[in-house]
Amino acid sequence: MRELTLLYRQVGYERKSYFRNPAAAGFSFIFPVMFLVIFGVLYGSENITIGAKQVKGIQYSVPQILVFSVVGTTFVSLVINLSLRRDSGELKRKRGTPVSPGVILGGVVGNGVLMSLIMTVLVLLIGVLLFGVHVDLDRLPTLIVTVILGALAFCALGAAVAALVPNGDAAPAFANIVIFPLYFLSGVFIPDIPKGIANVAEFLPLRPFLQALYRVFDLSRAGTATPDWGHLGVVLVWGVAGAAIAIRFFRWTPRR
Amino acid sequence: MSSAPVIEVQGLRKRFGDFEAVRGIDLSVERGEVLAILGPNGAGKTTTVEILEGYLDRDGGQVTVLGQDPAGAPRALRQKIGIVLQECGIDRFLTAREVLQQHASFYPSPRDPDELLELVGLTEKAGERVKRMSGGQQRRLDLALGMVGSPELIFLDEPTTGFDPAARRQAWDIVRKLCEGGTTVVLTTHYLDEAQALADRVMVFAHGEVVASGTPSDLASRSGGSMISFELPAGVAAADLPASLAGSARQDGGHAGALVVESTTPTATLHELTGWALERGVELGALSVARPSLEDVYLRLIDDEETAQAAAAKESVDA
Repeated sequence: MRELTLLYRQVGYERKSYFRNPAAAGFSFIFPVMFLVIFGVLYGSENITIGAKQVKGIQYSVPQILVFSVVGTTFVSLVINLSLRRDSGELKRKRGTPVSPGVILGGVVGNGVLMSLIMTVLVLLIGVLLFGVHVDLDRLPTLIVTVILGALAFCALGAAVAALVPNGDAAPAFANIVIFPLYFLSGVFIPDIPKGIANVAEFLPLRPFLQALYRVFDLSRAGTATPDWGHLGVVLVWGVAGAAIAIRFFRWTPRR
Repeated sequence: MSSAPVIEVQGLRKRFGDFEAVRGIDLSVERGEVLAILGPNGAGKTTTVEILEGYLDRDGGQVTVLGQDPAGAPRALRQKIGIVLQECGIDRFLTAREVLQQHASFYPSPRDPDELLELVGLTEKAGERVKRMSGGQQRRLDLALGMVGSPELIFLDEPTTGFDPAARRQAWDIVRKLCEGGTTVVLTTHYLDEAQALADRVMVFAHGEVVASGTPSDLASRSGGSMISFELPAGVAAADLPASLAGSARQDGGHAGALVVESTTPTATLHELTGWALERGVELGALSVARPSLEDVYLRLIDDEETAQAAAAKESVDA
């Protein structure tokens, strides 16, 4: 119980710190919004081809931007944030207090999930108000579950990469070199990807997450949509692998 | 209160690859004592302290801190110690008060954050983000963070490195105030005046070994003698001094052109020196007699250790 109270407070401090940090909050909020507007203006009202289907552009752009938002507020943010804090000695200092490492990292993860949810609301609002994206209200719980699980998995992967990053200066490069190829291979930036690549990307963490989110916005599907457990399963397996690497290799002290 | 030592270390060893950072250190710290560990960079001070704090595992020796083995940093130990690291390590986007409240929540019986802020003179900066505070203010916050858990034992790793003299004095006052009430302190430092100002006992480390230990005044009196220092005018060399003095006169490291003679019988030595000077019609410039400072003793200890190391290295090469 005490650990949960501590975790709750820790998320609060992380949230304050995040919102006051222009590099963290600015980039992870402004970039997705900017891309959403660009995508929306470019082909939001046109039909685009996904595999064999014709889809209204904005119905596909919103899940794309959601993936981008969640990854930005979790994976990228954790890689950079944890590496910088390790360099500054902040993690070492906290590790010297009686608080459990789970609470320290849990605060960062909790904040990542919270920021992902806030971004989801923001992206939906802009999508609905500016570009007329259609959201089925019955599907909102599924959307929230999908975002939370995806955010958790990408936090774990972020912690894993942070464990392998030598120092804070190298962190942005590490984060980008991992994530940018995945964005392109998974159809996050360019929707129509060759089938061969799509088949491989199915087993990487990003594309299944995009597909699980797209299911919520897929108008060809009738009625409520339950979470896409098949695709989410792949994402979660990656999350568990990331958590295992983070637990095994995470360093609290700067490299000397 | 138990009378068992707060820290007990025997035969501590630690190596990093080929480098032996700590080579058989023994030490013991009593409750309420302030111990200063002095030594140059690379002497093994921080490595030793980080083993005591539980950050590093040792390669050999017995270590007990507050009755526990610090290896693996057990939580029961972390609750009872305070750590102030060399690097500041504070979330720069939180305010001073927020950081103290956050850390206070980690401990079972914390001190009041506002009271601590007042103690370190940061009451007016309580709502200021850490990134907007000066280096000195951040360090004071750092000291307050070290004390927020009401620790029985606090480690201060080079608490005033990089400070200007006034800020250092201020920091010392803060350390004294924070530790009123019998907190045991282990402090590492490069500065002798810091050790003299704060410590009950000083240990000098060099090359991973203890080369001297005692109260600051013990150490200062170790050289056994007074220092007679003077300058010779142009045309007179050290070799011209009476035979009994010429042998022991050496260059004063802190004063270019001056010679120093160390003597346990300063009256007689001074008599001999001035007698010789009067006879030769030589004026001794800047003549002074002084007790050796801790700094003199320290520099000599480090010097002797370096010489011994060099000799040992040479021997092993020769052999």
